[in-house]
Amino acid sequence: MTNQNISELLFKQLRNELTPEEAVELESWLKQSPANQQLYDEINNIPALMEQVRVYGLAEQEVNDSWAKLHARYLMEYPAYKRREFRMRVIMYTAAAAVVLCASLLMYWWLKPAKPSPHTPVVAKAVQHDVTPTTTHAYLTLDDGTSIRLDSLKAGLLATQGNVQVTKQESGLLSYTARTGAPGDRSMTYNRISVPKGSDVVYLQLSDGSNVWLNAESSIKYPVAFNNEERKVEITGEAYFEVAKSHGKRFVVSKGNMSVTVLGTKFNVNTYENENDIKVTLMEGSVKVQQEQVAQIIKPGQQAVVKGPSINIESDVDMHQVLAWKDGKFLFNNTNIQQIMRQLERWYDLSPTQFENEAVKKWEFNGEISRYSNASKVLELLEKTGSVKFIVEGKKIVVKPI
Amino acid sequence: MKETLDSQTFNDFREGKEKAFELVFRMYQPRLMAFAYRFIKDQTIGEDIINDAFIDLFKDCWRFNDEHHLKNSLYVRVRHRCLNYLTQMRRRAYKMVELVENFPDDLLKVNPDIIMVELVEAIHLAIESLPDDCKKIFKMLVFDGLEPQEVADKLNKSVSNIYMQKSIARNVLRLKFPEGLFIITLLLRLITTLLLKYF
Repeated sequence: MTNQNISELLFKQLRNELTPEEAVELESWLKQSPANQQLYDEINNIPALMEQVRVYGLAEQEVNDSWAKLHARYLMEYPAYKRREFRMRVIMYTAAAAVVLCASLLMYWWLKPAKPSPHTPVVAKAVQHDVTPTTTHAYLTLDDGTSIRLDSLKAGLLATQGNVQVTKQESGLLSYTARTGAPGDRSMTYNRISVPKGSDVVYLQLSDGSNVWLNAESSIKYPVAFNNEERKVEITGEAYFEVAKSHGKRFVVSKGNMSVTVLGTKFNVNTYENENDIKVTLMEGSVKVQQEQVAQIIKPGQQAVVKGPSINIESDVDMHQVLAWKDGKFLFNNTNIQQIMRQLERWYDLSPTQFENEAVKKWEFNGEISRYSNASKVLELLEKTGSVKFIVEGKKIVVKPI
Repeated sequence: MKETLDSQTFNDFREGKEKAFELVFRMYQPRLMAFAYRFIKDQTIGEDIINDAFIDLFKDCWRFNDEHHLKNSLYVRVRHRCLNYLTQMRRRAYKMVELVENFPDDLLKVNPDIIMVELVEAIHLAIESLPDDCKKIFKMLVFDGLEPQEVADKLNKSVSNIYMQKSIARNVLRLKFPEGLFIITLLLRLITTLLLKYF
């Protein structure tokens, strides 16, 4: 019940327009308190009401005089210093609020290192011991044991094995194509590509049309032609697969006892030895992740974390972060400093990072920068958060708190 | 009817600026005068009581969250002081306790005091909207309780002229307020009905 409802009811009552429900409502409001009944009676007492109107009119006419009187009294009762006190109260309350706000901001800042704005890489200034990861040092090992350094080659045909040709394209893509019409060869010929630390990502197309991206410090062993019922490849390190569908033939990626089985889909597999767990992240389709006797099927957007003998599924995974390496970026989103440093070690071919103390190891950072920036640029970005300092000692980096 | 203070004025009021005190005073003093008159039929005492309330209010200026709060606080303070005054006059302290308990403490509940004052204000504005001559005659008839003949004598006008002005007032007040749910319109219609019924 509001002032407005009541006014409406009183008005209708005077015009005899009340519905029975409204009459009940008004009745109950009148009974609610003696003050209500009193108001009702007063409204119906026209002479008294008009007296009040008269007083109102007079007061309005004389309001200038009334204010002058009150103002004089106010100035007398409250000398200047007291009036300043009134104002001081407001200032003090505001100041107190500001102090609390500042304190909480500081706490926030202290507990959660700041988020640097994404930087577009600029030409890096020359820094001693700086590293640029611009060349591909990866090499291809053929079945007969010959090694070919991939970056030393011009685009063109690299080798012919059985009825499969290996070609390096202008874009750097290494592709395997089966010569059509050639007689079928049932024997299994394996190739291996190794991407060492400090090397650029290698992009590879297998003979079944599946695409593979290999991160630094990774390798893949695969048959030149997929003649078996299953398409089996073995990896180390990190790789991203876009598997082409091939007549219902399963595609199996294995690493030790862990295997990922798919038909045709996009997913990322991270199996670095120095990371805590093996992580399989699915972009499209569905895959089965198996570790010895345990198997889990994951859906797009999920990540299977293989921890010892068990497999956990994470649903809230940042796909951009998982695939940043393939897109030529470092992308950190509350990423632990140790994990960040491991990525840098692989990418820039650095020695294991030394942490000044245990507390430093727990810090997390946010940021985005091109992987083609110099190492110093990336470190500079992290230093901008104002919580860490990096000291470069040859190929080793020391992380210090500020 | 000027219903609200602008936010700048309200902020200045909280910060204790005298200009804002004046604006608040000008807006509420006449309403409070009519309000106090309900309890104390003496305008001089009423004015003193209201001044005391305002002085107190200025001291507490920093406490108010919004204008609604300020307005309710003003009415409560004036009501309290009026009743206190009456109690002192009657020397019946127990009455005070009882009345204090009936105070509208919940700001969002219906406040009969405010309805009443808004009604008074609306009637005042309706009368002020009449043409000058008409208004003057109306006031003499209603406020001073004069007979049409007495008004005619005072103004050197014929009695029929007075009756004519009275009917003009009636028609103007009747036409003045269109349909609508806005609270002020409602109140104006309410009082128009009242005026026409009794006048």
